[in-house]
Order: sequence, then structure tokens, then C-alpha cells
Amino acid sequence: MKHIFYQRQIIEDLPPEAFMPDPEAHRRAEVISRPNINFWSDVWRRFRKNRVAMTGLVIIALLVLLCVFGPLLAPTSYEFTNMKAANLAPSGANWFGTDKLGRDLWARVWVGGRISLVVGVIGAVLPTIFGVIVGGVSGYFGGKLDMIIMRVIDIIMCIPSLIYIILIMLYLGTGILPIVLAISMTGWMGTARSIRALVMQLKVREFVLAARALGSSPMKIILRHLIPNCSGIIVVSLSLHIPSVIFQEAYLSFIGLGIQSPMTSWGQLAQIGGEVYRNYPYQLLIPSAVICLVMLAFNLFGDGLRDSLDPRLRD
Amino acid sequence: MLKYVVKRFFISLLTLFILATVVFFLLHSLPGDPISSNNGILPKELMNKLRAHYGLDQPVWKQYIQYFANMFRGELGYSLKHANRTVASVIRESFPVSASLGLRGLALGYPIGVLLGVIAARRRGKPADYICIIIGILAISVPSFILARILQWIFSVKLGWLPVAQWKGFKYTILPVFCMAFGMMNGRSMRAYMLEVVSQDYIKTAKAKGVPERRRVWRHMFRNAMLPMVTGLGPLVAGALTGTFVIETIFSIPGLGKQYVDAVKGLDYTLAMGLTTFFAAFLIFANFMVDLAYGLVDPRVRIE
Repeated sequence: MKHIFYQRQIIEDLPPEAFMPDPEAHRRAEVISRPNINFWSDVWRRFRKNRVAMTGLVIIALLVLLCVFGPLLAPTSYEFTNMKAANLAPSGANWFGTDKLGRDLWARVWVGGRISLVVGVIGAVLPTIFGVIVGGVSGYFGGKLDMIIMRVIDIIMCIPSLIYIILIMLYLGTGILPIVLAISMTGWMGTARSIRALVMQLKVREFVLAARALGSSPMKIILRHLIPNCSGIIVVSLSLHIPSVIFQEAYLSFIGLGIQSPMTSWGQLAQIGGEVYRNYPYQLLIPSAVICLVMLAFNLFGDGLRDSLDPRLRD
Repeated sequence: MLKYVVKRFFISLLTLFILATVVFFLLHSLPGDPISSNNGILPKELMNKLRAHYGLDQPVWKQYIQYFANMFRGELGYSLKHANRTVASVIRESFPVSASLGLRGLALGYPIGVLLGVIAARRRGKPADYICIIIGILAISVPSFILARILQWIFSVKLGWLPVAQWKGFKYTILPVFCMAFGMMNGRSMRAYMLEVVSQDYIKTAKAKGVPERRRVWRHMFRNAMLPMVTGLGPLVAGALTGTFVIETIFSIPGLGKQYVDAVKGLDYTLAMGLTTFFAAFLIFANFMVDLAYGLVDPRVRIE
């Protein structure tokens, strides 16, 4: 009896607002308790499950770390020559041995790796940006402009890249910048073509119509709506482009147009090692192994990324 | 069909002409000329005489008109670096070598690549699939100059089974052809096309009406998956036939690729121009043939 009295007392003490329905209730019921999964976190979730692609990513991370910190562990700097210690086989002091001028190859491989990776990344990013813009404009506007751009690309693709690579190198001299520019000149046409094809498919979709109805300018539609929708293709082509740029840089070193000594790159090291491989095979094998490893890692990474992005290949 | 062929032919000619023009001015805008590498070796008057002999003292636009007038008469001129050799004779001599190397590489590598793709797609997710993919990724990950050197080291230096270099008989062709072929043993695109085809309705129909597995794979899936592969074949064939500089240099094979790099680096205008035009004509022709072949193999895209 007493008990009920107290309860009634409490209820009577409550303000009238306490008997109103809780305005927040429906929102609490629908609150999302797990983190949001947007497009890229979904891709990352799939990517993480792909063990092969993750291996690629880990190898890339390791190689980057070695390029940043590796030279610090070397007994001498990458350009320190010592003719008394020339062509030494790998040992406890010189982990990768020394070259014909007695320079420590461990230091040279990782310093060269910095150059190769920087050239690879910039040489892949620049032409991709350019190709995306050209392809986007060409695909969106269509008509005469598209025809002209595509014919120009046809013609440029028929000119062996060697001509303009040599042209740029002769004008700007040898160094990182001319190499990056020369390689960038050769890489944008493929990206432009595939982006153009995709934009042509996307531009007739409703969201573009909506944007146009709301008065967006063509450039804004291309940059804000069409290109973000191509981001999957762009990222994949970027990650698959990096190894091919590293390869091209090595190819330039091979024909004697690459990075000049004492600075070095993986391609140059493999090329120099290739000249003495009969007597000192390790000078060829070590840089070769590193080049193959980095190409492999980037290819595995890009492949895995493509599989995570492509809904048709999902199970 | 005939109208299409004629139209394509003229567009190709026009493309080739524009291309040759662009390359002509690109080459002539490089600093120096083919004679100037003799600076200090030859007396000044002799160098000027040489320039006059080859017409290099004329303004560039005059040289341009002269060059194209000659080209329309079928004359590609004399090489500026090799004394008394015509560009045509250099092509006649080096092209068969490059083409034979390229064709062998293609004939060995391409079918293997396609086959690996088919196997991978059929055994999707099984060990065979992974092995095929790994071979494919290795094929594009190992640069040809590294593969060539390592093969030379193993088979020529260590084991002594095969000659290190040169081009004098079947034994000499094994290593370069394998290097060439290895880059094409990439079955990943074939695998992707196969997987695309597998989920099509006509494959289900074939299965439902009791077509045996083997026949389903080769008659129904393989044929349809090969269609998009045909598109990439044009540039591939053109590239294989016109030679690769790296392999030709490492194995000292006297092919077109090597001649080309030497010509561009040495500013041998006429030889570089002639070879570029030859490459481009080849590529354009190969793409043209592929477009025609596409109409033949795929009835859906018969050209009007």
C-alpha cells in the first residue's frame, strides 16, 4: 500500500512534459551503430581479404622503408669510391658487395631505389592526370573536338616514343626532370582513351542530366561528377602504370640516356651489372632481383585493386 | 565493304603523311646535325661540303619539300651515317631478321598465354589458376633485358649449352626467341574475357542441352572470349615484327630495332625518317587488318 502511494507521488511530481512522446526516439531506433561503409572502405575491406594483393602492398611498403632508411645502414655513402675495395663479393661489411669503383652496392641500390620510385610515381601520376582531363573533355563534348583529339592520339601513338624521349633529353639534358617529362609524354594516350570510353557511357546517365538541369557548367560536370565516377579505373591504371614507368626508366638507362653517375637508379645498376655479369654475377643479380620484386609487387597490388573494384569479378 | 576499305585506305595515307611531317620537324629540331659529330676530326670546309652534298645547308622547309618529293617517287634516300647505303637496303636487310625473331616469339608465346588464360578461367580459385596467374604476372614483371642477361648467364656462361649472342642458326635463336615469347605469356586478359563469357546465357543453354564440357569450352567459350583478344593483336604483331631494341642489342642481332635506335641517336635523318615511316605504316596496316578480321570473325560487327 505504502509502495503504491510512493509511486503515485513520484508520478504526480513529474512535470507534464515527461508524458509527451520522446521526439528523439525514432532517431535513436535508427541510429547506425557500426561505422559507415562507403565505396572506398568497401574496396579496402575486399582488398584486405586478398592475400596475394596484400603481399604486394607489404612488399611495396618494405621497399619504400628500405629506400628511405637503407642507405643509413651502409658502411659508406653511395658515391664514396675506394679502388682498393673494387668488385668485392657480398660480405658482412658490404651486404651487397661493391662495384667496379669500390662503391658500396647496398647504399647504391637503395639510393637508386629512391630515384626509381620517385620517377615511377611522378611519371605515372602526371600522364594519368593529363590523360584523364583529355579523355574526359573528349568524351563529354564528343563531336568534332572528340574526332580531332582521337586522331591526334592515333598519330602520336604511331610515333615511336624513342624520338620524343631523345628530343626532350637532348633539350633538357639528363636528370630526373627530363626523364619524368619524357616518360610522361608517352603514357597519357591509353588513359585518355579508356576514360573517354567510360565518360561516353556515363554522360547519358540521369545524374548528369540532373546536374545539367541544375545549371552546372560542363567543366564542373566533368570534374565533379564524371571523373569521380571513373576513380576506380583511374586508381587501377595508376597502380599498373608505376611498374611500367620504372621499366621505362630502366630501358632509358639501358640505351645510355638514363640517370648519370654518380647518381644512380635501379635500371642503371642493372645495366652496369649486365656489363660485368660474367665475372661478378651478383652485380647483375641483386639489382635485377629488386627490379623484378618491385614490378611484381606493384602488379600484384594493382591486380588486387582491380578485383576489389570490379563488381563483376566479385563472388 | 569496298567503300569502307577505300575510305580507310585514304585515311591511313593521310595519317601517315601527317605523322611523317611531324617526325621530320621533330628530328630536324634536335640540336646539331649528322655531320657535326665529326667536329674537330674533319676540316671545316670538308664538313660544309658534306652538308651541301646532303642538302643539309638548305633551310628546313626546303629540305622538307625535297624529302617528300623524293618519297612520293618511292625514294627514301641514302643513309647519312652508313656511306653509300640506301635506307631501302637497310630495311631490306634488317627487316627479315627482326620479323623472323618476332614471328617465332609470337608463335611460341601468344598461344601459351591464351592457353594459360583458358586453364586459369576453367580452374578458377584452384591451384592451377594461381599458377597461371603467377606465370602471367612474372611475364610482365621481369624486364626483357634482365631476363636476357640471366638466361645468358645460366645457359651460355655457366652451362655452355647455347651461344651467348649473334644470329647464325637455329641454336642462336633459342634464347632471344624465348625472351621475346616470355613477355607474351600473359594469360590474364584471356582469363578475364573467359570469366565474362562463362556467365552468359548461351553457355547455360549449351550446358542444358547436354553439350559436353570440352566442346563447351572450346566451341562456345573460347571463340567468344577470343574476340576482344583480336583487337590487341594488331599492335602486338606490328611490334613483334619490327623488332625490339633491347633483345637485339643484348644478343647482337642485326635487326631493325637496333638500326632504329642508332639512327635516332646519331641523327641520321634519312634513316630515322625512313624507319619511322616504315614502322608507322606497318602499325597502321596491322590495325587495319585487325579491323577487317574482326568483321570476319564476329558476324555482329560486319562493317557496312
